[in-house]
Amino acid sequence: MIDPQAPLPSEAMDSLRIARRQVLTSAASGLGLLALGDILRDTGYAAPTCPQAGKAPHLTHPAKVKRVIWLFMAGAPSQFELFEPKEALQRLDGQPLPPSFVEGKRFAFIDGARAKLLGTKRKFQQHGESGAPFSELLPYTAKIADKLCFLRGVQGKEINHGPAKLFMNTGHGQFGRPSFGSWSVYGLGSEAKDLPGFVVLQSGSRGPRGGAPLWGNGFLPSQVAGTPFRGSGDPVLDLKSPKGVTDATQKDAFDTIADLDRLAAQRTGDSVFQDRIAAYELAHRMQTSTPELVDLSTEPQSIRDLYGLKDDSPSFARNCILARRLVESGSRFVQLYHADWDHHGDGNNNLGKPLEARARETDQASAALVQDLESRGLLEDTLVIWGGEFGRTPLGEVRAFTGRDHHIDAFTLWLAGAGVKAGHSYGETDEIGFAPVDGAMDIHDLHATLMHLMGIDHEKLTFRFQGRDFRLTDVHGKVHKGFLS
Amino acid sequence: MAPLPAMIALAALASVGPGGDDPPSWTEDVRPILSEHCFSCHGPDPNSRAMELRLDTLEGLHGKGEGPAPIDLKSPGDSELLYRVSTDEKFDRMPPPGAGPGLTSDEVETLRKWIEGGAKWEAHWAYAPLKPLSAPVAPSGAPSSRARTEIDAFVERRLAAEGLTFAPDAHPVDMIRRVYLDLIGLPPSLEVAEAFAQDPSEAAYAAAVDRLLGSTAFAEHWARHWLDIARYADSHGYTIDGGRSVWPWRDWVVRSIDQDQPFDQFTVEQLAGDLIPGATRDQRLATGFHRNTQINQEGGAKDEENRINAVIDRVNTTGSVWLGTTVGCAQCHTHKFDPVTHTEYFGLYAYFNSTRDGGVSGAPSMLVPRNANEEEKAQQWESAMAKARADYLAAWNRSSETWETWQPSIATGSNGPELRPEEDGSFRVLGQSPVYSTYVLEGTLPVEGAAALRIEALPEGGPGRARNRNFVLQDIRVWKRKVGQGEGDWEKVPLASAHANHEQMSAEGGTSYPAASVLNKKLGGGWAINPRTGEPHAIELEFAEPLPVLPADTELEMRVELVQEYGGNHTLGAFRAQVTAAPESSRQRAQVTEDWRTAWGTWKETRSARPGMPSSLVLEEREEARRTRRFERGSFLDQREDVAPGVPAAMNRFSDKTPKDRLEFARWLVDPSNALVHRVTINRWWQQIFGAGLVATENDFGLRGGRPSHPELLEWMTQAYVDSGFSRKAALRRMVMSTAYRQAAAVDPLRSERDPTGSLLSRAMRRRLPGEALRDSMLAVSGVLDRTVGGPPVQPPQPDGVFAFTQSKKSWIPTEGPGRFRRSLYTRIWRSSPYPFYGTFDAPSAGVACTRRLTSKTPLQALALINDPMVMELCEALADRLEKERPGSTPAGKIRAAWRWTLLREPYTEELELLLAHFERTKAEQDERTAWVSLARVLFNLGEFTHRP
Repeated sequence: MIDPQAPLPSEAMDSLRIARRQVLTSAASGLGLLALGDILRDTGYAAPTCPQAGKAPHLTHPAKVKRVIWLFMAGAPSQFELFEPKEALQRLDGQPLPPSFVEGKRFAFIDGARAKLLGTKRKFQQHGESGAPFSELLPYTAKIADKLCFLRGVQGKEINHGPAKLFMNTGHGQFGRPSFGSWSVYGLGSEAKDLPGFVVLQSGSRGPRGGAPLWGNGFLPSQVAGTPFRGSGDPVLDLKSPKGVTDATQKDAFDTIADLDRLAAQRTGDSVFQDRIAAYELAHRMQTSTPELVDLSTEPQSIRDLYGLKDDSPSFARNCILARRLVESGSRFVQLYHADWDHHGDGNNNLGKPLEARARETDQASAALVQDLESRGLLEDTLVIWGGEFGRTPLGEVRAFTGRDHHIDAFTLWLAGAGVKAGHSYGETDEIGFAPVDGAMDIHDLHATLMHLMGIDHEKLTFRFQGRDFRLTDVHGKVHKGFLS
Repeated sequence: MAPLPAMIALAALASVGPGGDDPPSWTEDVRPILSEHCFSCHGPDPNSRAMELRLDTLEGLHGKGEGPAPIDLKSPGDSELLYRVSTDEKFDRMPPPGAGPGLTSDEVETLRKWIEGGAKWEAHWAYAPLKPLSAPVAPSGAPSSRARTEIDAFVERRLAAEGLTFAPDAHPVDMIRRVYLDLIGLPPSLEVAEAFAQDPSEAAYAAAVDRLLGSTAFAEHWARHWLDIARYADSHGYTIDGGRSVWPWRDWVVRSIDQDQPFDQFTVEQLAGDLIPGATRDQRLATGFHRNTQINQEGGAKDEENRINAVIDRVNTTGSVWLGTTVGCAQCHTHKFDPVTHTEYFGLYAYFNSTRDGGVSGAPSMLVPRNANEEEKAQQWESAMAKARADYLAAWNRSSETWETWQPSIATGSNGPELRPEEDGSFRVLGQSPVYSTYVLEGTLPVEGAAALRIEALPEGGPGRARNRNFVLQDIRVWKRKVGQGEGDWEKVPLASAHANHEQMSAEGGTSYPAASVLNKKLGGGWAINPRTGEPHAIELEFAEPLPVLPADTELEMRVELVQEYGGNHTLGAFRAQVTAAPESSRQRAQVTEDWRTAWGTWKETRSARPGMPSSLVLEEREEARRTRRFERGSFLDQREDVAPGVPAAMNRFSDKTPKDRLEFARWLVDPSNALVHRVTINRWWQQIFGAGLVATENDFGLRGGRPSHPELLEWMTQAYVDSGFSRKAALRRMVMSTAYRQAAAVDPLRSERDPTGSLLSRAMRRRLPGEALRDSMLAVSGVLDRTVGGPPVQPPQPDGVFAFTQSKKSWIPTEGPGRFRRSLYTRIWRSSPYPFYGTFDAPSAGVACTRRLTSKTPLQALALINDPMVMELCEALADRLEKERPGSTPAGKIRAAWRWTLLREPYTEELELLLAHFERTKAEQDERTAWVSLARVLFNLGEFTHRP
């Protein structure tokens, strides 16, 4: 919530804040939220300081990306088993790593100085005109090789799952900062009229480590927090009318509440009552619109086949279709978590069957989502992101099986869609995939670049909290243009 | 530090804003401009300072840097400062391109006028001593004045300056409902409201206020606010989010507030109750405040990292709650705006750095007896524990006489375990249990000419990590080098013999594991101890010749590798390393004596005989303080020079002493002269009563924080609070007795224009109830509220699917019986999935201290209030109450009754008609019972019910 009494730098900012507060807190904009930019435009604040009059200060250039779908592979998939065949790693399988590689490095579980390099057992092939390598585990994604843009030199800071997921989402390893999705809805607003602007979906055995702070609004207004849609039951808590209440009774109750609040508004002149009327109207609409959105019975068989959707039970494939429907309805930011990519080498978490299962659960639908968006013309201004919170070590970790530990020095993500080169690869790692030799990109850089694609200058989208202007990229971040189209 | 000259302090509180021809004020006008545009490169932080130029101090402004002085008092127009911010010259203009927008012409003009007026500089108001007021504080007594109290005198004067007056007093029904909700978080009953409407006299109001302040319901409501600040929850947080027991601390908070424990004691006991000489059980229980930090139980999480995160959280929480300062900024670098240096941050850190907790286990906790019988049991057990521990240490000392404990500075293990140094010089091996591992220890030695090494395998957390608690030490390699030599200079130390008190031997020709096989593989598979795996053991290895004694200026260091490659987790779980220069003196003695073994057994038995009763997490200080070192750029992996405990100099102008430990620090915080802390406290209470603080940035009283809207009022309130002996109830009473508090929530064009947010206090503002107070109100109105105070948390019903998004699913079996309807304070809080109804209505996530709740408006709130099963159950209860208490009434009569219970007033005709129509339609659509429940639901959903008037 923006503080109406916070110290303000100038009169202009003063009126801006009040206006912004009114708009953001007015329920009419609660989910179909107006962006900061619109408010700045309305108040005329932007004109004197911003070269592009009529724009908010952080909207410095046209956006290529209007919507983001982030396929978050929670637990961190192994790049070496999926995208990064390394001839030298195969050759040196079983050898210790030269100490120069691991000095001062942190691993969660293994001792870098004593662990041994691990070659992959997966077979790789190059695909498409771009010749990108894929392992046998990703046959569907391999087919869209020429639509993908790989980032192969991404680097993290946090070595454990909880903090690393927070960092990937909020640019900070501890709780309290707003998530990327929240920043983007705050900075750009949402075009969704009766659905949330930022939706979170989850599949797999459990929710991601870290929980709600991963899509939290931090100190931003609570309206921009991600709304988790549940896989079964009501997609939103309390969405369904109470048991035994008919639609007519429910509508009657909504109407009566509005009528009574309207009387209170007339009697008192207090805007709190007006705000409630709008919020209740939207809530009532959501009771209809949200179940419609999650009802996949209207999807034709061809689409079900494309995504590999077997039935309507919770699954990654179902979530991919939901994500498409959400961006069709105007949602700004949709994030899908799929759990259990943490393949250290335990009985139930290793690079054998468990990895195969994760790949099988996600491969076809991830590829289908890109194809489906493209065929509907949505890929022109939608960006799909696929990846985990960090990568996995080129070193083996010996448990019941030999797996791989957490690795933050280099890992791989792929992007597809608006603003990025298709069939492209950016960044390169050394011969064993330990660290980037080119195109190194930390998470602040990644955030800065993604914001750039969304038309936002990451240094200018700020929010003052406890006397400091916070931004997603803290005091870091540089835009990488090498892979932008 | 000498006290600030009184004049400067007083000037800091001078009138509001530049009036007429007065030159602009440093505090009000000039510093905000410089802070916004200049301080990040020319402020307090020496590391980011450009050109050695500082614009936040008097010295800096008058020129100590290389270039020309920023300010030229003789020829103000020629001041470098003015030139730099207004020139179009590309290379001279400030701020430089990319460093933010330039100054507006108004801002430049303000700077010019300030310099022309003599460039008067003042210290920051919040750190100054309390200002003794010269102005009269009594109500003026003028006929037009509506002032009742001293507070009103200040407020009315300010209103007059703005051309405003107090709004009329609120309607008595609104008034009584407001003061109930603000003080106890529950609405009054219809009878109470009607009685007050009959007699709304000053005396009746005062009596109601005193009754409320004296009730335990008050303590419960205000405890909830403190729990926000304390980031209280019933689970560990992060990923696994296991349950924890700290609710007895929550009950302590309720008791303390109920008894109006002075806020200084309330503070000292929570921050350092364990260190108070002769601390009572309650004083130790109070330290649960800082045990509300989270614990990451994720596999691979490092114990020390967990501990450091908890200490950082404690420092930052203490900073925002007591000092009203975002000290957290100084964790990585000197604060850019506030006077807290990077080193000073670690001075604060040092106070909190020596507690025993921090591991993934959640210990330490203390017993919380519920009656005299349990109290006796607890005391018996605690003294038995103390004795058993002392006996154990004494026995161990006898057994290892002549040996010196070696505390290596490096202790690592391959394949992931963490070797945590313990207070007694041993290592506890934590985290991932690898199949095999080699532990590496390196460090200088406590004796010269060491001739033997001893490794004790300890049963506390060990001896081994295999399932049967065994281990196999296959090889022990010893190396030496001189300090300063390189990795390649380690020189092997040959070993001559190995003996252990006990060796695992095979009777039937299988592999044996004698100590000697560590040196000679032919003799066995290494040293192991099965079947005696529940007791301490030791192996002693004599060197072929003693380590050399070096000249005074060179020091020797030793490296020991404990190779454990048997597999199956046969690694040490707890051990200690020792060395001696005189092995022959111990050769005749048993390595592990019988009395050591016995003492260990007794200690273990005593521990497991812990009596069954509630427990609560507490702080406990180590006997020996930990070293505190500065973390370069906030990274604990890069620890630099030692830092001693200390408080930021700028905040310590009232005292010439530096607190030396946590207890002294807590006492320093609430020293009557520490005006900052008392201002912050009073302001936060004011915020809870009035909706916003006199300083709107309640957790930032620093240079970028807000200025008080009524500076003199804040000073007076704070002084009165200090004079009252830090009484919370007296302070709140002062606030709610004022006319300022008792105004109507008037909406008119003049007030909307001149006082849009109500910060001038020309009217009251309607506020949405927090989720807990909303549910408590429904509980009260529907007649099912259970008023039991204290005890373990309960689970009211919640919608299905709450745990779908958490890593581990929690069990949530709704409490049956009256406990289901207890006040919301007692609802169980899982950090990863807090009770959704409260969160929807802006209850904070218990991750960091929350000193003020936000108020959002979302459709999700409407959905929760209209559809949630918990709400529906209370709608049913209200329908039941109607049936029971108004059995023969007409529908209109019943509706009237329900309306009055809910909103404490008669419905207007139109309102009654709307409800009656809804009732009749619903009855026709469904049935009468459903219609009554639906009617109750409509009432609970009205804005008048969800808002405090």
